[in-house]
Amino acid sequence: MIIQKIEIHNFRSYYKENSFELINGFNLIIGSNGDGKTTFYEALEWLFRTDGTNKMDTKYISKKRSEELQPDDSDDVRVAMVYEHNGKVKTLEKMFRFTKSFDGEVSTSNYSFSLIEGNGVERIIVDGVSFEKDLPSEMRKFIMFKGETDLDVLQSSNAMKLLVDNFSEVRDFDAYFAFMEYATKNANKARDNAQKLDRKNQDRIKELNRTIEHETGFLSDINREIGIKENEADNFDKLLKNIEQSQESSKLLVSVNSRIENLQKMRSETVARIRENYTINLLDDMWVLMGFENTADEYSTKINDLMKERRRLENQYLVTTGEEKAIKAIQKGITDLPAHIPGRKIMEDMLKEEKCKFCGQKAPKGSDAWNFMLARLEEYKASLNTQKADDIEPYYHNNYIGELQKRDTTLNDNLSDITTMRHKIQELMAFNNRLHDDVKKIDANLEIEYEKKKRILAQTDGLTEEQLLANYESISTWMDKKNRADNRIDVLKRQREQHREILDKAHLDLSKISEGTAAAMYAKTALILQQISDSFKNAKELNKKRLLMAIEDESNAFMERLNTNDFKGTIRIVEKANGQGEAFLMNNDTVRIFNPNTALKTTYLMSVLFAIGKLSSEKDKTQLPLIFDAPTSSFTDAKENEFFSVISSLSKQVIIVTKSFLRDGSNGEVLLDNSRINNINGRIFRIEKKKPFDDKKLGTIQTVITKIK
Amino acid sequence: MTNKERMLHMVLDDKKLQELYEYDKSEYEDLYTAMNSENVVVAAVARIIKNLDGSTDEATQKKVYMTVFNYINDNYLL
Repeated sequence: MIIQKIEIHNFRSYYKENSFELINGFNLIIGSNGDGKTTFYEALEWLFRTDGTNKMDTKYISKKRSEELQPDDSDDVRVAMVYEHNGKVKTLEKMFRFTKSFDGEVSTSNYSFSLIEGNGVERIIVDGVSFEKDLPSEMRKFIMFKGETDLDVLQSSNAMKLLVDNFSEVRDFDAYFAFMEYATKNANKARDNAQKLDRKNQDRIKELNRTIEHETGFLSDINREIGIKENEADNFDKLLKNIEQSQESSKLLVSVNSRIENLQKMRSETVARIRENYTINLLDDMWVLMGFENTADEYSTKINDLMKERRRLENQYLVTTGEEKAIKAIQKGITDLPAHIPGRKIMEDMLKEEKCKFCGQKAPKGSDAWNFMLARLEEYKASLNTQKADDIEPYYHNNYIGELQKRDTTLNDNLSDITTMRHKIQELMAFNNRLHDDVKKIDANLEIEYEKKKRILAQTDGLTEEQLLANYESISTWMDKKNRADNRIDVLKRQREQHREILDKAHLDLSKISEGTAAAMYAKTALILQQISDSFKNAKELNKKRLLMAIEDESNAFMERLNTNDFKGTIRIVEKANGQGEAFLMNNDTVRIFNPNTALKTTYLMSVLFAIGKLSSEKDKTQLPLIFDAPTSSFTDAKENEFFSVISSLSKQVIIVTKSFLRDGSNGEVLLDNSRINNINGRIFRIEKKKPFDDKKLGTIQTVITKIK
Repeated sequence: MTNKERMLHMVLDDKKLQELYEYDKSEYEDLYTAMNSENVVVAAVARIIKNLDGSTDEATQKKVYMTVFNYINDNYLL
């Protein structure tokens, strides 16, 4: 069928008479938003409608025309198509009359739908429903497409049957299949009746018949279960497909959430390790000494100097008083250290460590040095408890400097403790600082993950986090259930093969057992018909398989041309368990591509359509045009150019209405992009709103058509 | 090539049937040759395809069944 001309009269924005003279090739109708592209498509849809619905809908009437009508005036809404079919030129015409009443209401009447065939001499007019013969309504889904969403023709429930019926190598298999069932059943009955006369083998015949009955029952049960499981697998497949768009997002979200959870755990553990209550360590008696080491040193020096001076004066006194001990000391020229020097704690440490901390020498326990240090400690302890017996009038009656020196010793001991404590606190602070740094790093990572999560949720077509997570849960459950159903199908199919073998053998045995009897021929005939029936069954499947393979091969050849400089994948066409067909893309590793981008999906689905179209013409069937309304919305300019260039080279009638090939002019007007149009081979029309028009008044809108090329 | 001939080729293409009844499918290009074949199974298949003519009518089914059943009964050599 080749569409030669389309006439649109008073149909919505198409005011009065308009026509498109089309060629048997590529026809492009370019228009901007509201210029009448979809109206063109809808006019054809209305014209092709043969079911008697939407006959005279007032929405089809041109507003401009109805507004300008005078009361009691009438005009027609008319859409007609002149086409050539099997060598005959026909006109399909649908129209109705609309009349304006005196109160301004518009009424409709005189609906007519006719198919006019001109044989050169006379015009034969028949009911427009006869158009069904030239373009059956179920075939329209293979030729008319609105947007990019309904290109997947194989999805519809009866598409596969239509394809097989119309485009497969062999038609009418169903009728033969039904006949073979009838013939087999009757031949078996005839055989059974004949074998009843064979008394000798009756037991064996009964046994074999029982086997046949059982095995037929088994096979029927297995087939039923296979059907159920195939449906199950298909349903899970569908469910998985429904959420396939969000599958990646769900996976990413689960991964991000898991990372957030880990980071939060890590953060709380790190925070818990930070102990910053330093004041507990500092709030004791000695905290005031922090930072007073220099003062303490100065104090020590002064006290020591004073002490030396005190002893010098005391010694001088003793010398003068003839104290023998003092004289000896003076003779030695050494001033003994007082008993409390170097202090109890240091002395105890030195004894414990067996080392003199003044000279740095080792002082093993029991050695002279060690014993000397022990004696000094004893001396110190004794000095604390006993008053030094002295028979000489003491030079000093009070020991204030000694007391001050003792304080100095205690002070130094305390300072040492404080230094240790300070180091500990410094280490703790450094450790805490490191933990604080770690927390900052974790917070930065958390921030990144939160951002990532925000981005994922912003790009999931309104799905909430809960829905995405539920989808993720469902994916694994459904995948699991689908796999289980698939595995069960495999097992059942193996069982089916085994039972078929048993059944075939039983039929064969039943046939053989009758050899030499009167029933022999009937048994053999029944067997032959059974075997012929199996061959018809296999042929029917083979026929379908060949068709799908042929569509697949042609689709991939078109895909190669339509997607030259891009990723193509491989188109696969399969029959699903429920009998529906499915076209999808596969990577070279035989893994299905679940989320092809819209342009890629459009391209491969169009490839399938072109393939079906090509096969239909090759098989000497009617060549059908393809009519698309805005099929390339998702394409880039470059891809669109390439795409249209390929389509225009196909030897097939294609009609595309599109808003492509338009560009904005300097004054805001919409202009044709001539540089791109020049590369297109085919007939090109521009449709646009006639200027001027009132953008608030529909009655001023009129589509005008200009033939560009 | 007609639809019936394509169907004939596809049914005769069945390997199991070829092995069981020892025919060379390439010898049967058209329905006429197949109907006149000495191979009873080939001729029976051709008769089914030709006589049923894609009909699902029960009377036609019965008629074709009787024709084919009798043909096999009468001609097949045990």
